[in-house]
Amino acid sequence: MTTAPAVRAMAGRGARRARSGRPGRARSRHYLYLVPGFVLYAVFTLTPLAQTIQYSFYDWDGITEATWAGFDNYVAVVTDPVSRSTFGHSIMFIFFYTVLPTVIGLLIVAVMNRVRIRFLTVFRTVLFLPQILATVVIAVAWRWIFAQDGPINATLELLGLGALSRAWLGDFTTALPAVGLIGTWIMYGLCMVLFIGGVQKIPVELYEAARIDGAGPIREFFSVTLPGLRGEISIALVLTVTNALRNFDIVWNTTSGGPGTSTLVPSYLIYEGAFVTREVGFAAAASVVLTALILVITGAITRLLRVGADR
Amino acid sequence: MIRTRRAPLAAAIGITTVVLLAGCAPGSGQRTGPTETEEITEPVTVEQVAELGDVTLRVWADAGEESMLDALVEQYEDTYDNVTVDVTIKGWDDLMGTVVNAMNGDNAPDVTNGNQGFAIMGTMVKGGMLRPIDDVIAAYGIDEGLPESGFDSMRWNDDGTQWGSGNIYGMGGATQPLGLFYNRAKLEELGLGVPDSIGEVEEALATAKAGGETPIQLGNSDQYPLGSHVLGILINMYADPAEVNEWIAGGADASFDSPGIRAALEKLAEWGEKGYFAAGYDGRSLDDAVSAYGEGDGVFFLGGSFNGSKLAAVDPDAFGYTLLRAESGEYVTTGTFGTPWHISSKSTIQPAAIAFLGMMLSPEFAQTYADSSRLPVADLEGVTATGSMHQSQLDAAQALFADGEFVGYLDWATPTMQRTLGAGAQELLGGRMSVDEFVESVQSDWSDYQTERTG
Repeated sequence: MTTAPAVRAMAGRGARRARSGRPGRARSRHYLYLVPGFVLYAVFTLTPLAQTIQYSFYDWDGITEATWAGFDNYVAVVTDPVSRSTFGHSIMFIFFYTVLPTVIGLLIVAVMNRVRIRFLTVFRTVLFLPQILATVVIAVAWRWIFAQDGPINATLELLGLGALSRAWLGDFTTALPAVGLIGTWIMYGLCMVLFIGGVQKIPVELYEAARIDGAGPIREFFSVTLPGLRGEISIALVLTVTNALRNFDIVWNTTSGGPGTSTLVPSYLIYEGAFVTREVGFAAAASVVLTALILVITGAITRLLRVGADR
Repeated sequence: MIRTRRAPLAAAIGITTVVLLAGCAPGSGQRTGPTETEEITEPVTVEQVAELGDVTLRVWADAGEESMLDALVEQYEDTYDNVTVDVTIKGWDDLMGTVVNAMNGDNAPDVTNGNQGFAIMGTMVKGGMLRPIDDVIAAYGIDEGLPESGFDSMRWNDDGTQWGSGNIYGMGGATQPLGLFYNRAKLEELGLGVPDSIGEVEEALATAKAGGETPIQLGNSDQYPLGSHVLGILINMYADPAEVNEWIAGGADASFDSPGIRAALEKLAEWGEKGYFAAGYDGRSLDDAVSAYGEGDGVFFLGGSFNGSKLAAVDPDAFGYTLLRAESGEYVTTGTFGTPWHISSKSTIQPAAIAFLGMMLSPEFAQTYADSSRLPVADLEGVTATGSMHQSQLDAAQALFADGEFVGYLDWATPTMQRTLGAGAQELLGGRMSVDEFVESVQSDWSDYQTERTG
């Protein structure tokens, strides 16, 4: 354990400094309070992270002794056509998990801001429900909705559009958007709740000023509401992008990556590599790449929106 | 001074460096080795088990075994009253994802379900996690009256790199051949007899389609069973069983590119084109399809005999089951002695584990399997069926044991084969892949793995 002595040394230093009467430095001692939390964090997050990075450089079945593989696993993640396509699908999911829910959430907020809605709390709760349902339940419900004999096709038949009916999750062209729309349904409630909370913090005076200046609903939305929600939008984007990229449960419970490999996602390959096909090195390398991708994209989002705020 | 924001990153890098510098490759650590295996020549006695003192026998099992185990555990604990049985039930995917690691751990279950093929059984044999059970099979007479070829998939070389010969490492309690289910009432309505060969099936499918029925019920949203079981049945019809088994076992000159397998693939694609499979099958789960079939949607259903338990629960006499004669005229099907049971090589209470398997695989216990419409390996002839559907399954299994040919499951061939076949079959029927491309993708998956396996 390398961390404990370091922490002790730091704590000791803090104590000395406090005695020597330099008040600013006494803060070091506060790190002591972080030790229990940090130990948990180190054992359950940092160590597995470090192990995953280590495994990614080996060829390992998870059981017998591993052999050094260098960057072979990373090369495989980047060059294997199926593996590459999974990252493409993830990017597509960002549209359904992030862009659509954010737009829908903003629309709802814009409308709620102009029109007084009765039973607002009830609506808010109902729209937030998808967030608290178990994803397996959601997947089963949507599998039924999208099924050949499900309500979507029944509606199409009623409208005389029977020719369009199909097993939405089993069709090469519609499976990916169909899975994506489930994500939209799960995520827009979260976005909406975040935005409603944010709007209530925007000073009413700003809206009054805008209206006195003759701003219409659209102008008001872009000049007052949208800038005021920058922080909430940033949080919503980070959360939903992360969910889009690590999507596993919905795919697992609806299409298993099919038909063909049309809805396969990186998390699915990682799970398979780690537990089914026993290619632990490849799975670890894919995890590292996925983690890096999530960090880069979410990092870019927060930076972009923060820079905007400084202007 | 370290800036707080960088601290977690620095720590992660630090730990990684330490782990890497420690220089130990994953999997090189010390683990509990196998305990001394005492071979038996006679069944374990109650006294031998009693000598162990008060012990707990830990068992991991597939969910399909739950009702059988409930009965077995009660009977076992009555007989061996110093043993408490602790059963852990897991769904199939969950079990397959965790069993190897569990058996590799220091606290491995004494008895567990596994699966044939390289990924599960091969890895466990390679890691020395399983106790060979040839002596148990002989002492209890478990192999009496059984076709020797049925044990092929349970036999492994010592390195766990090749199956087909060597020690026996597992044994199943209920056989699960793939076959053809039929809806009796619908056959009658359509004026059809029970098909016995692939030719007769084709005629019946055409008649069913013309009569406005769903010819074959199917639910394939898990990319299963179209590419594994349905294709498997067709391959059994057209290809040479010995060649297919050779390919599954990773024989040096084996190939998926054979006229028989191509014929099977052409037939599968043709059935897809003719609309013989239930509409929207890729968007429906297997469970939903079995339920729909139970409710009367579909004339035929192709799949494992284990689906029969659910159908018999709906109505024990409404459905029937048959094996099919291949072009050779013989009954050929994919099947084994069932999901294998293993004894951990690390178990410190091996007599108790042996007694558990001995009781489970005995003719006296066979009726318990049969009571839930399963097909006990131990006494196919002697058990009483739950109804005419179950009886037709018992008859089929007997015919297979007497003079039929067992073919292995195609997905045993490589750890990735299930996906390659499952995704490929969807693409083949979706018109996105030709037979040539299908054969090529399967064979390349196979070759890659053989290179890796034989190093």
